Amino acid sequence: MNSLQGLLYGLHIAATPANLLAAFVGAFAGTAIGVLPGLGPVAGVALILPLTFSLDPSAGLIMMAGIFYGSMYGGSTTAILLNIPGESASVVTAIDGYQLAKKGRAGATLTIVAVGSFIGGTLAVVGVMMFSSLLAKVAILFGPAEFFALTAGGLIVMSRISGGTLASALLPMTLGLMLGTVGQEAVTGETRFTAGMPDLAEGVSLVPVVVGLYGFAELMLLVEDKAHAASRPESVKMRDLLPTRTEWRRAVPSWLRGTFLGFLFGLVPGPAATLASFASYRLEKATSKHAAEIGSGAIEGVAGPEAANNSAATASLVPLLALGIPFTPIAALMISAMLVQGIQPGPLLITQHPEIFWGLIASAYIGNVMLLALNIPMVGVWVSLLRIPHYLFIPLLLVLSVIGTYSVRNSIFDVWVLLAAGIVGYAFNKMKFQLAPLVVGLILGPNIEKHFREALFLSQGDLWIYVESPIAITVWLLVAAILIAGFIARRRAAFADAMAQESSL
Amino acid sequence: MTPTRSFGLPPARRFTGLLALLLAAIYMVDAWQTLSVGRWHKPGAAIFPIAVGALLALSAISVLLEKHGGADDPMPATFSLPAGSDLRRLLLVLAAFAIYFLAMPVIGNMIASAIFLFASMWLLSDDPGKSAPRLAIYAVVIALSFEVFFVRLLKVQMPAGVFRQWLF
Repeated sequence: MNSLQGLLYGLHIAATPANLLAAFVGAFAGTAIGVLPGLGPVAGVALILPLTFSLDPSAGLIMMAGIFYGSMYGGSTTAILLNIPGESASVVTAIDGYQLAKKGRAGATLTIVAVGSFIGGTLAVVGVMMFSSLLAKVAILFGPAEFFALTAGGLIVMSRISGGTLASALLPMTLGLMLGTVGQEAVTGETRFTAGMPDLAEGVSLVPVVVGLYGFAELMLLVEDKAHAASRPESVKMRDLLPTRTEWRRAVPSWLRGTFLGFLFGLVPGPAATLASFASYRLEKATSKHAAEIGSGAIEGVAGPEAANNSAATASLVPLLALGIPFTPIAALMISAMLVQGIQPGPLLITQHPEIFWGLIASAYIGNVMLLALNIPMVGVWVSLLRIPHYLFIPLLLVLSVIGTYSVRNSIFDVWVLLAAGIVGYAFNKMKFQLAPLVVGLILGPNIEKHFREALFLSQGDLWIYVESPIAITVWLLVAAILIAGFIARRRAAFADAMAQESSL
Repeated sequence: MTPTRSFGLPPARRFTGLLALLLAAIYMVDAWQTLSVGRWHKPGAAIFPIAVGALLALSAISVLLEKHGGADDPMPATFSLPAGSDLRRLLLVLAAFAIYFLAMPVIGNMIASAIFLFASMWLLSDDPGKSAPRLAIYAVVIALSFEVFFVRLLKVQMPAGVFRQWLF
């Protein structure tokens, strides 16, 4: 089956009434999650995970993908109207978006953002379609050493590019790896570090950790932050939604630049959507004809980053679909959903479960169209969601997080893990430690250990096995190249800052 | 103005680094004593945890040795935590959340949710004229809606508690 046949097959799967409904519910719930401060895409998908177990595997994954894209769309609404990014990838959007709103262009900016997100998401799906099937063919040749290179290398790259200092990412990442060793280990079945607690024999569950770190911790910040909780947006009228011809013309090149850049970022392990939006903002500042206006309310400052973050979010599905390796918390949750449904993710997914592979890709097209239809005409509904008093929605989301967490394993212990993870997340947020490396460490840790030990068994203890094959060498070289490029970029940025400070003196 | 109290970020991070170093030591000793290390050709269950423990110790040391306060330091010098009534409110919501978990297996999810919703709405509402009956109605309606949607419709298993025979 070539890509076009695959897409047609996927559209046939995704267009069934049950899957269309799943895409709609996911897109709708995702937009609401993105709009409401407190729950970002990761916590939103984590909460919905247990509910997908009762659905058909395709419908469950389509719903999760809908929530993911929807929350990326919705996150920008609060960024523009209230200067409060609904999720981290919308931080950049808030800079120019809020300035444009203050100039009375909120409606037009929301339209530019929605169309840009649609273009970014839709064009990236084309890339995902081509890359995933190609990569899946290569990945069949992978053995334990190659998978070890990919997972360990991916984690190393992530610890360096997820923002902040090296220590701010390395400490949470190793804590995640450590948590991943709790419970029964994969090779011999030996039980480790359970402190005699039967609840830990199956290991630390991903959902309470993710919901705690990303959902509960954010809600605690909202409880203490009265200023944001009390913010109320102005209403947006339908007639204000239409951008001017100049705004359309200025947005198009930024959308295309952002889409391309976002797709490249999406292929790299790490918080791709956030990094892509920042990189796109810098690119717009460097290349736009209206660079001087960026920062004080320029349409390029929202069009580029929004296309970039949606493109990156979509592209991050490539390693998930082609290799079965989750480099982001959301990809990990999707893999959890597949495993519970008895589907083994990995390079064979495309041949063993084409309905999942192509159905998910095709649903992204459908989901993007739905999101466009949901976001522009219904902007008034989303704005009204922001008027719900915080004393109503914070308790509601807390109860929802408990139901979502408990229902995964019917375990009260997991709910306590949620509380503990929430407190750790709150403290780490305050102390500027990164959260994503902890989650990805927890997810990839057991895989890294399994591939590491399997490779040693196969090679009879010969350590050269890790750097013997051309694929493993290529992966390690790519890791080194990304690290060196990051180092050079940081040095250049530091040098530019120093020069700017010197010239201002 | 929200009352807050500022703390130095470098000491807080160093304290976290110290805790992580202690954790790494306990973790590695436990791995060494309770699990088999094996040989290179037949690696045991302790190999990976020992490597992770060493990495945790290294990352903890890197936090302890961080330089702060330079012109290129990306981090702020301080961070703030709530104080006074805001701190009390945050702690009370946390306590209510913990009591909710404890009560859930005994009185069931629906009743525990309704009580927690009411308590937390009361604590979080800044309205001086807040009405207890109105908040109670909100709490009951939300708890009932969750019960119908998740437990009845989506068949999510939640604790029913001692009132199971009257409610189900």
